[in-house]
Amino acid sequence: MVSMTIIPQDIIRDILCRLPTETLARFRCVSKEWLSLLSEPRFMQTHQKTLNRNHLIFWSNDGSLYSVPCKKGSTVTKLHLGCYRINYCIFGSVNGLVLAWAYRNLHKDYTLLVLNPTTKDYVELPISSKLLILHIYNP
Amino acid sequence: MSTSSSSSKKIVLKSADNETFEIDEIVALESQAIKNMIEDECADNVIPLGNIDSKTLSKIIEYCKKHAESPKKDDNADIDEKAVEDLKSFDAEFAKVDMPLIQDILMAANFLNIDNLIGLMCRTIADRIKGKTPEEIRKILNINKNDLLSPEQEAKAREENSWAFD
Repeated sequence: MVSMTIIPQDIIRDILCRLPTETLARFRCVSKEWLSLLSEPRFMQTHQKTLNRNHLIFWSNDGSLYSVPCKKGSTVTKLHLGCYRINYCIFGSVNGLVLAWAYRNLHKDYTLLVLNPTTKDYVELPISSKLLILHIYNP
Repeated sequence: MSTSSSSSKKIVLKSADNETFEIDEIVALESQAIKNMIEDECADNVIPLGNIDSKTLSKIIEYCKKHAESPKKDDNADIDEKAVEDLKSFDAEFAKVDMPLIQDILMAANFLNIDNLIGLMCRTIADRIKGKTPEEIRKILNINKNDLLSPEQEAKAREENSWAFD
């Protein structure tokens, strides 16, 4: 065999499953094949299950949220939340998204935030303050 | 445990460049493909491997020998940890070769169906490409130039995943 080996797709899949999410996001522009492979829901599911990708999230009393992979030697990442402060309640998480109770500095009231600690994105949920019961489910 | 002895059955493998390797059957059985051939009795005295060169094949044999000699996990629940550690450090040393050879070993292991070796090579490649840029990946893994994204598509993919490029 020569060094111009073209690796078949099932093996590429096997290799990519072992990489962190952030690396995979960058590798989406390697080629058309990689972009379509990395966009497959089936691939994402396998990727989630392949390694221990659990992260611990916690907030500190300054209202900031932190995320750290459950692995030896990992570093803690701080999530910058602009004008929001996380206030004593993280409700749960589904598929890498986290739901938390946050205080809005501008409005001096509370709201629900959906956070993606990997991409460091977050959106506020349009809810009424009369909301009472909340339960996370995985559809 | 099963260790090779001079009286055990021998198998001869022949590489693409016509070099022959005589190995114990127990070593050859690490390959599921060869195992199937032997079980189906369609293996002659010499098994020709027309797509594997001698450099790659000798690495594959080195790996199979070591793994055939080591106690298997499922044989014995309390195999000593030293054997596990020994095999781990063998694997780590084994993978210290250049990328083209890694890829050749991977392709050969895939053809011969040697699960552990496929896993080891995939892990090695994953570790080596982890910090690389898309441009570097294309070069390392010989990505087909006809399969690249258009400049517009690439700009879009970069923008959508900009959080990962910082």
